[in-house]
Amino acid sequence: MSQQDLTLASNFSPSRRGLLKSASASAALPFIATLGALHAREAAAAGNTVLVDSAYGPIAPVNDMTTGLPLLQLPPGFSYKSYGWTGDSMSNGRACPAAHDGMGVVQSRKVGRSTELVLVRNHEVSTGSDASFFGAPAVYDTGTGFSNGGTTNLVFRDGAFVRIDANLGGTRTNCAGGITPWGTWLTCEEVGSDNISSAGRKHGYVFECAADPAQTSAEPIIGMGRFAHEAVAIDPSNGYAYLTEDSSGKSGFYRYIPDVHPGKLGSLAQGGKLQMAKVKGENNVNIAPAELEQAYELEWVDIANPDQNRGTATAVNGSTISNCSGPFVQGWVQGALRMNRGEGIWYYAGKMYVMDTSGGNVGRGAIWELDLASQLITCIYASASEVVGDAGDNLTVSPRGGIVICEDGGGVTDSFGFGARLMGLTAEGDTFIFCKNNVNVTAAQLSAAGKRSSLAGDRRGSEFCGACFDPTGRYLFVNIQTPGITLAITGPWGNGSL
Amino acid sequence: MKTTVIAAALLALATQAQAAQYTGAQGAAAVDASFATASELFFDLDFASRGSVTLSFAVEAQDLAGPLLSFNALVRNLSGLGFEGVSVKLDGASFALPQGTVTTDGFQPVQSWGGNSGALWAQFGGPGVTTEFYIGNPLLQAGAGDWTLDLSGRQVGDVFNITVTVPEPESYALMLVGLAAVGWVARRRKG
Repeated sequence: MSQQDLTLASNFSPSRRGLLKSASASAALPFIATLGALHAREAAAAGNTVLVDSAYGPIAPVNDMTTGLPLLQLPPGFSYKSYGWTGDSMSNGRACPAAHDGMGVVQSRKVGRSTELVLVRNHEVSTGSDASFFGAPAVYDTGTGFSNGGTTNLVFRDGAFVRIDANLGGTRTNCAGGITPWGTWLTCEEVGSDNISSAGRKHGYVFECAADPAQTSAEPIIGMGRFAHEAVAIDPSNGYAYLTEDSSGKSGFYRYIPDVHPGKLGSLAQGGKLQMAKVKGENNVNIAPAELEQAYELEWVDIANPDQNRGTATAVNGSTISNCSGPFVQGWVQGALRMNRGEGIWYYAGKMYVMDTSGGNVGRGAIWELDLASQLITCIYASASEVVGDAGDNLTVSPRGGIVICEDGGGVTDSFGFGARLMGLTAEGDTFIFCKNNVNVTAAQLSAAGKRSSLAGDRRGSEFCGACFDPTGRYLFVNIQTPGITLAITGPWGNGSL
Repeated sequence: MKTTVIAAALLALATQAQAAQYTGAQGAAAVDASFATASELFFDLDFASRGSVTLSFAVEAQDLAGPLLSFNALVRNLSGLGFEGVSVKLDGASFALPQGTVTTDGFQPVQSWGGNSGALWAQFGGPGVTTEFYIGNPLLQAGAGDWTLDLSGRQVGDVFNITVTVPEPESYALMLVGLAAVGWVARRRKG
């Protein structure tokens, strides 16, 4: 069955929310005809997203089917397997690097009757002492003060993890990234610096990683800009790549129009035009303090030099912001917009979903929905408090159209205790708690499970990242950055909106 | 030269030979029955909802030489909901001993399973399998084994059916009773 066949009707648009405000719609949906839901509607009217009970049910600790440890809190019926922990042996015999971050499924194929998935996973490591670059076949920067970030591949076959392969090394602070329609991974260096390594390399680029690591080139896609990249998503209809910048208070929102379309491995590096988003008819709009249903029409300004060094950005009215990325400087002077901290971005059904992790009324996160056809960008989520949503970071959209948000706020205490969370968005735009980080393990427990004892500790506040579904929507893959664990979660997704 | 061509053609036919000819299916699942060989009847099913699918096969001369066929199926659950159990009912064929296995991909357990000459069934641990499970051993895993289909007494051209059912939870007990009756009838027919 194709992914399209699995797609359920979904609509996150403001019109949907407006529809639900009507009495007739409320009567048609009994679950919102409650006192709590009434409060939710009132809060929504105040411009903020509200927290509702999960349709999947309350979460509770569940043991990992790999280690037996209670690493997650999940709703009834959900189970998971962990794999690819920091320090686990990879196929080349070296230890798996740490700081798991963005991740995507780049290949799904039949091998005989088996279904095999290949995921590429980021490691958000800056510099370190590993001169081998964990044995990656493609290395960008060999300069001393080794750039020890990069990517690894995870092979998942018939519901079981099979192996870890090193992919790209010699890069720094590989935060998130994005999948391409042609089955590769774009890994983003979150580096806001003009420093040059002893090997003459600059950082802050996007690199393309192949499903087969031997095909990865370690060539930066300079045209996509040099700045503190967070994530990227591609519009499959025209190949345009949309990029976020994570630079507090001075984050642009960009797109890259490649010269080659349709794309293939290596085509993005062959050239293209970088542009920065601007609110049509208005200059230098700060869209960070977003409210629900707030909307802007976008236009785009050209960035002539995507590799320009950092500097002071001057607005159209002459005011300045210091220490900005080169692309931001060029866009800002033309009246481009800014977010607070652009984070995850995901394409789904003609729209881009973009997280501003410090956006919203109280700076705890906002999600923008960009309609690619109309270029209208609308706020569909604005957190009013840590409990509602705590600094959402990476996000993904399931094949059924449900949004999953990875929190990166250091952990929240709610009715299920303390921990970072995976949140879901209902079709009505409300949030619910789907999963909670429950990693609080001893050295003895880890040793018994065959893991590094040095990973022990209370890691419940560590961020979730890299959430992504397989094409059938049966498995949700996600990372816990510290101590560095990848998880495959499955369960009765059909009970809720994910 | 002519002999060589004929021999090559016969060889090609032999390598394409399948167990009982698949003639089609009706029901709730997408079917891939392209994995069969001369002595093996294998298929994969994708269920987008709970329900039944019946696959029909025509007996061919080579099937009667054995007349046993190895049987397995890989069942993917694409419904988004848990599958609490499964049954496989035969019409026009029977299961021979030894019995095969029913397993999952490890995210949920098989709580119990069994079979008789006319049917096999399995019950999964609550709240059910949400990913995939395996009737027999389609993935060649250690500890798993295929089921065996017995076509004794059949004639070339006879049609037999295999019905795979993923029942609604409330009808699972009823299904077990029904399968027991099917097995009893099948044994009486064979006797």
